[in-house]
Amino acid sequence: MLVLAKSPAFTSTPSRAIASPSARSSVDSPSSSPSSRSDTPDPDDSACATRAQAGDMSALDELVARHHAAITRLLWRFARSRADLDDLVQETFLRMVRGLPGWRPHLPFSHWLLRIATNTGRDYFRRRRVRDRWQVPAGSSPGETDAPTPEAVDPGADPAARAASEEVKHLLDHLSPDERALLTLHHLEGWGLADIARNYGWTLTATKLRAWRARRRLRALYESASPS
Amino acid sequence: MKTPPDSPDSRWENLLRRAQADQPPALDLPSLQRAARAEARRPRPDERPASPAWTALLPFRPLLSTCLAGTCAFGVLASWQVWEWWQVLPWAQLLAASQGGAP
Repeated sequence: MLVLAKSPAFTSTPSRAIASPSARSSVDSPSSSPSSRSDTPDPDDSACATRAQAGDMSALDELVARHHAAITRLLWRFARSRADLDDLVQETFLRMVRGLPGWRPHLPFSHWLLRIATNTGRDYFRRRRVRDRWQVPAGSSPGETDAPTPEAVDPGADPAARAASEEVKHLLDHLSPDERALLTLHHLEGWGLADIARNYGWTLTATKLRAWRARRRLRALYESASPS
Repeated sequence: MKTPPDSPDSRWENLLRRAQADQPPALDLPSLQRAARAEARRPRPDERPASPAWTALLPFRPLLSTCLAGTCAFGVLASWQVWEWWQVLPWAQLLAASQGGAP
């Protein structure tokens, strides 16, 4: 119990051992963290986005095609179901289209889009929190005998990985939306706290404090969920 | 010190490592592109904060800054006047006393 409080998995550098690029040999796809990408704008992206700003639909198609895999992968960490993932990815690209007139070519397009995606993910957590708060628990009404059939979980290419991902998401479900977004990016995507702070417009100190509190709660949840 | 293999920490690390390996399902790219195109073609609503008539009648930003400036100026002037009167009042009493006092 006490070991957990000081253990590397839950202290300030948990994902260094877990999610740092060097330790992620088993993970096929690279991290989407902004620091893992170049800070200089990709000329192809910039050219495409500039043409899309001017109303070129083929440039818009190209932007979607270039980025949809990375955005899907990032938002899969947030989504609880396939249908939610569809909605989140679509919402991200719709926000991109709406915000395109405000994008400036000196900013890396991928960073800008990543920020839209993470904000979409955090908004999703907030909506779910509100919905869960007002939702009547299954079986609480007198006439209800059976709980609704849960949505079938797509086992994916790697059922063990899918099950583990579901378990982590289920644990994170108990945290506040901001904490969930923070730990989702930190633990599952391997983002550094500085990247997360910059992305959400938080100060680094506040982000560290929030991460510390979230990890403490997560630790308690994990301990209560897994008998040792 | 090495973490014991069966400790909650190592179980958590394993869980995270497996969760990170989870890959998303493939999405329908053409439908995404169609949605983006449809959004781009949609006419933009007027994003001004109020209706055009109100905006024309009352330009909100200049009005707000004028109100703020006026409030600040009034505050400075009022404070100055109060300070002045506070300075002057004893002299006014002395003057009244030198002339035989107030009637």
